[in-house]
Amino acid sequence: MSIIEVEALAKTFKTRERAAGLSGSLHSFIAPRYRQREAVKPISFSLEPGELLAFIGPNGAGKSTTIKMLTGILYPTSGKASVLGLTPWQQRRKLSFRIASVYGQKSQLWYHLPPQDTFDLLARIYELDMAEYRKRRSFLVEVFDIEDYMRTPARKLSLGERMRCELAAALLHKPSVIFLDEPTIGLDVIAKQRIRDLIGHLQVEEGVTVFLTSHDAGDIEQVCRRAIVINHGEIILDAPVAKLKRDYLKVKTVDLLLEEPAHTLLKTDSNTGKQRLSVQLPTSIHEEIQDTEGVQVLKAKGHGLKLAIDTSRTPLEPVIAAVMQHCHILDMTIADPPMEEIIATIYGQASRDGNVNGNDHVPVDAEPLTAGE
Amino acid sequence: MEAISRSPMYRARRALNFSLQKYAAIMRVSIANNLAYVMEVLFRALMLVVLVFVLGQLWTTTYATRGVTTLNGFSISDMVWYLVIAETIAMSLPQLTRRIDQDVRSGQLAYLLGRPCNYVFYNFAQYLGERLVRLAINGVVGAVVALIFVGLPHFTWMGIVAWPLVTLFALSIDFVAYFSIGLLAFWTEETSSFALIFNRLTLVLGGVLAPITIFPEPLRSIALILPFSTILYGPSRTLVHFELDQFVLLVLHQVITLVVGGVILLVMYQVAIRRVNINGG
Repeated sequence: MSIIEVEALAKTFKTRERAAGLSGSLHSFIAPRYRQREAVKPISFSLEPGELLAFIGPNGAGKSTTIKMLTGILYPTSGKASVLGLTPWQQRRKLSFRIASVYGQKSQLWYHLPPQDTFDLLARIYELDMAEYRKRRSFLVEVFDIEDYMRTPARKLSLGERMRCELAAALLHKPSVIFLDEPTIGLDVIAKQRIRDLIGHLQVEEGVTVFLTSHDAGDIEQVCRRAIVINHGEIILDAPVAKLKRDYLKVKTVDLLLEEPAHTLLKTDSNTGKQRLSVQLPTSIHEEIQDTEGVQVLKAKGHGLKLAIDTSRTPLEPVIAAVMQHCHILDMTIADPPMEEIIATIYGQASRDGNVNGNDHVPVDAEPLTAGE
Repeated sequence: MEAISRSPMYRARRALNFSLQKYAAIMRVSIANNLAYVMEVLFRALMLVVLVFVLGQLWTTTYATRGVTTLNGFSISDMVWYLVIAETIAMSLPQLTRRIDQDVRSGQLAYLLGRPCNYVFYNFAQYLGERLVRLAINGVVGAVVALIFVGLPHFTWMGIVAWPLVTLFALSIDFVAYFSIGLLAFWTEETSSFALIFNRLTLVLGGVLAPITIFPEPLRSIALILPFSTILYGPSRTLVHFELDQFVLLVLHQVITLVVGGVILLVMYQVAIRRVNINGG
């Protein structure tokens, strides 16, 4: 039985429009004009117990609005939803004992107090048995490795430390479903990785269902098994993360700072006139890789070299190894394609497959959109 | 045993017990959070010294000029102690409206609404914790100032016993008013102006500068009917000049104000909660 059932759930906001300038402000004051904005168009999906779902999309796509409807904070304009058999906006209080939500940009910790105090307060709020609570707290403190921060005022914690405390606090009452809204936003690479590992760990240990929103492709790749992509309030893709990775997250951008000038690694293609990476890939490692045709030079200036590598054609590792054989790499950044690019690719793919409807939006049932199927 | 545990009476008592523990815990945490910047509260309380000194001098001159030792039953000592108590309550007001306004606009509301507790009661417990810390510090500073200026007060034990009750009601009336104003953030762009108006009316018509009974007519009658008098004048007078019939009238006035204000707040809250339009998404 599904743990979350969503059927044609939609939310429309009424926003006040205000024209520019003094006369516009006066006019808006006397005769205000309102605009209807469809934050979430009718969406449908379901989630099984223990699933790790990435609910992704660019800013303003409708991710947080969906989470807030599923946690009962927002009333939908239309449609149905059931979380753990309850209607969130009608049975919010009952539901709140069984779910948890963590918002990356907001804190539930009391600013001047150590997390320990917030934990104790949450135990009271969730009406926990105090002996059980103390056991649970010890377990979470150990798993999240936050013993050192439990007595430090929250204001003195780094963002990464704070987020670990936020996650542990959210799990005190053993929720069956946890909603994570941008849990890695603003974190550095190491802190992000730590949070991703912990989310994966808690899912394995506790079997908790995770509903994660993010616009960081790394969160999805490393944490989740299924992804729903939402854009302009519509679901444009619902597929396993493996498919998403294969079809839409395959191109990585690699930014290199080299000891040698970048042009020493490049040669110009006589046919196209474009610059190409001219290195010999170590065939002993990846014998199937014959050349660097999956590598595109985006920018080469001085000692800086920016490459786009299609990992379905050329894996990253041999390319980096080949560059390293040629010269030292002083600095390197590997980035996933931005969410906007992934969405553009999904639309492009759908267009090629002929799955685009009249208004250029991909149908809600996006399963057939997966490329190469 | 099982039958008892399933009875509605048992369940209601259990729920009440959990609720009391819950909101008491919120108040305790709020007190601890506010004690974190106790020095800031203490420095703000020092403003009381200036206010009481200036107002005390004004009243001393007034008494001397008119050649009287009492005004409507208030001696100069009573007057200074009255001012200290009224200022102690007035200056303990936290920025409740701004917090509610920010909760609504920033989306912090999401955390609180998603919890098994009532948003209004959660905020009341938090507000009470914050206000009690300020009230205690202001009270200590004010008492020291008044002792230095005019010596020991002439409080009666009945006044001392009654004061916490009417002060709690006064703080609750303030909560209802400022929380409701904060909820206006669901409809208006700016709520601080409404809070400022209510605050100034409380100070002027609530009797922070002088007991309302020495106001000229018809201002006195108007001020006594308005709810502002139940916030400052009522509790201050109860401690300085306890009279049983006045106390009963005050409690009645406070209860009516709280019931009417509470109904307005709850109606506003029910409407507002359906308008939640949290940022992000």
